[in-house]
Amino acid sequence: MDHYITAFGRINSTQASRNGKRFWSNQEGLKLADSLKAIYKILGMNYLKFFKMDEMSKLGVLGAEILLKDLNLTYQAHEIGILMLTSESSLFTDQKYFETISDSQNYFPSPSLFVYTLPNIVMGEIAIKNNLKGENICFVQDQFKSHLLFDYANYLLTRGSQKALLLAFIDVTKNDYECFMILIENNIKNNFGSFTSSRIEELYCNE
Amino acid sequence: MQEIYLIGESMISALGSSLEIHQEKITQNSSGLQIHSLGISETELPLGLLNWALLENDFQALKLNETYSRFEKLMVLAAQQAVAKAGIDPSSPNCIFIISTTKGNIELLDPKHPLHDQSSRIHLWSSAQQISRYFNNPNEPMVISNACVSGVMALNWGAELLRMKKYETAIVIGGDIISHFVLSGFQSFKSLSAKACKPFDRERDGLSLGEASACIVFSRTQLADIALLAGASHNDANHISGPSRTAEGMYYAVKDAISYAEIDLNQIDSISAHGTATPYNDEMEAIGLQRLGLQNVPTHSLKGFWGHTLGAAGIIESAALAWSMRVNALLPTCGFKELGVSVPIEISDTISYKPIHYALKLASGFSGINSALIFKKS
Amino acid sequence: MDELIHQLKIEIISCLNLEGLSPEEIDATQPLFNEGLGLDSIDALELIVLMDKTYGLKIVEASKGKEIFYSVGTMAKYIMENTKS
Repeated sequence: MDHYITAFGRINSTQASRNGKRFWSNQEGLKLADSLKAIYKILGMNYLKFFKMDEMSKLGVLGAEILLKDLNLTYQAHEIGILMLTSESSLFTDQKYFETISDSQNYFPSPSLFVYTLPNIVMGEIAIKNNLKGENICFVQDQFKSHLLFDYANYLLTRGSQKALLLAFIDVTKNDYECFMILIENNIKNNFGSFTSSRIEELYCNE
Repeated sequence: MQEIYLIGESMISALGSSLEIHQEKITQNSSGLQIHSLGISETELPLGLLNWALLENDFQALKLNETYSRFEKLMVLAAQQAVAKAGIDPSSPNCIFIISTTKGNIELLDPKHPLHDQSSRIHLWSSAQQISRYFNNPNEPMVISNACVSGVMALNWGAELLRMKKYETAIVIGGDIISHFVLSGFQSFKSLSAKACKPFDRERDGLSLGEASACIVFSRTQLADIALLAGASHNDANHISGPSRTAEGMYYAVKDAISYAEIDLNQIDSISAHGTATPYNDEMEAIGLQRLGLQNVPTHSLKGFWGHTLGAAGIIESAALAWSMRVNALLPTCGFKELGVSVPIEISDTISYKPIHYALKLASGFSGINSALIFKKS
Repeated sequence: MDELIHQLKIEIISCLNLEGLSPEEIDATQPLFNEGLGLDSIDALELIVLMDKTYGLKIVEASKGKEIFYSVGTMAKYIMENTKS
């Protein structure tokens, strides 16, 4: 069965966009935390758990919201999976957690930071928010790899258990952040091209 | 589904650094967990620590000098052992390295660490490159960091890459070491037991952490008695740090894996559970096994031997499972005495022998993810 | 006591990132977990850290935690009874 890219989105330090259309510009030069809050508001979200998440999970949850917000996916929960790739992994939060344990005079390891010191937690947060009970995998590579995301997605889609997949590239560092997501379905409506490695690369690079 | 063969394995844990010592200790039902006091809090805890002083001889024999972190040395050693058994060329372009770890070189965050200045090496991809470069492998290593299911998922992906004919062989290495970072985190989570962990037992009250490294080498063409047939994973979408009460994700993961393996649930002869010995995990697995109709299939957890070894867990436990299939052994669950889950499942407490044709490996992890693998003996 | 309760509310909101909630909106007798404020198991662990870090009270037994963290009121009572001023 052929698969298509049915939505894509991006958040970075200058903008947020859906299907190539910018809906937020960081004109005030907001820092990470404030940008995430601004995008949350623009998306009209009302999800208090959001404020408990680390930055990487917030970014991922916003990215998923951009794609899934107005779509009525009719698949069953266990038929929708999430694949992610990151190069920074959870290091931004690892450093924050490390600060809670690095001073023996002020040693209070934080459980709510520790739980986010795994990069795949963002998929758990997206899964909970959107009730997605399908496959998940998290790769950590030096940069965006369209062929790796394609190969893994293709493997899952070909064998049939997964009807839709959210593919994500998420990175947060001290000075920068990026979230790029695409939705793959076997639905020809509203399509932004056939699901191929080169099309993913094109969408990632060209926007 | 095409069979992908296991042609070399290695296990390095608190039990020792050879396959033979693991087989001996598991047969004797003898735990490697010992009381240690570590970290700033210096609480006495049972841990599955490696004998680093002894391992140093192995590292030196492999010329692993101080430019390698102890995590990388351990991973290289595990790979070296498995590659030697498999008799393959790890420098071949037809060979791929897949690394499974949760925290890799996290110790490098500490400014006092000698490799702290090697800032890129704290990145899992960079550390993975250091490992595969040792073997002069020309391909970019893949890193899977998916909490406690990392190892199981890395094995599944390694096998799948061979099915896709992208490579001839895959070297799948899993490892994590006990760092102050990880230990303090699990302490803050109150998930560590004061006694050596007791999977599925009435008195179980938490997990024991362990450090380990293990490697499985896969081949598409070089036949072997044990093969990986299929695997699958599903998220519970329930809670980021607690399993589903209904074993939702585990149920679908096993269902899918069985269906891709093209076998029936009633063909499973042996189950290697995740079995961390936390109250919720073991209860969830028991419920899942019952939902699947697998409550009478002999099930073991190996965490009582070497602790919860995080990124190594899926690989070291699969390596042990593969050996148990070869010798037709149902493995003991070290630390288990009396069933303490709400549904009756069949936990093996001592080693016993029975023909094993198909076995199921389970794993579950933070973020709500559950994975399953199906192995076959021919 | 009232001052302690108010102080605790502020600390809880801050340490658990209860966005948009003001101290006045939390009733001292309202359950913190489940049907009340809807806190979860990770919040409970973070409250244990709060008690240790701010009030020097170490809560070791999880079973005791359930009573102590029932509401802001029970937390304040526990602090009053266990700190010497």
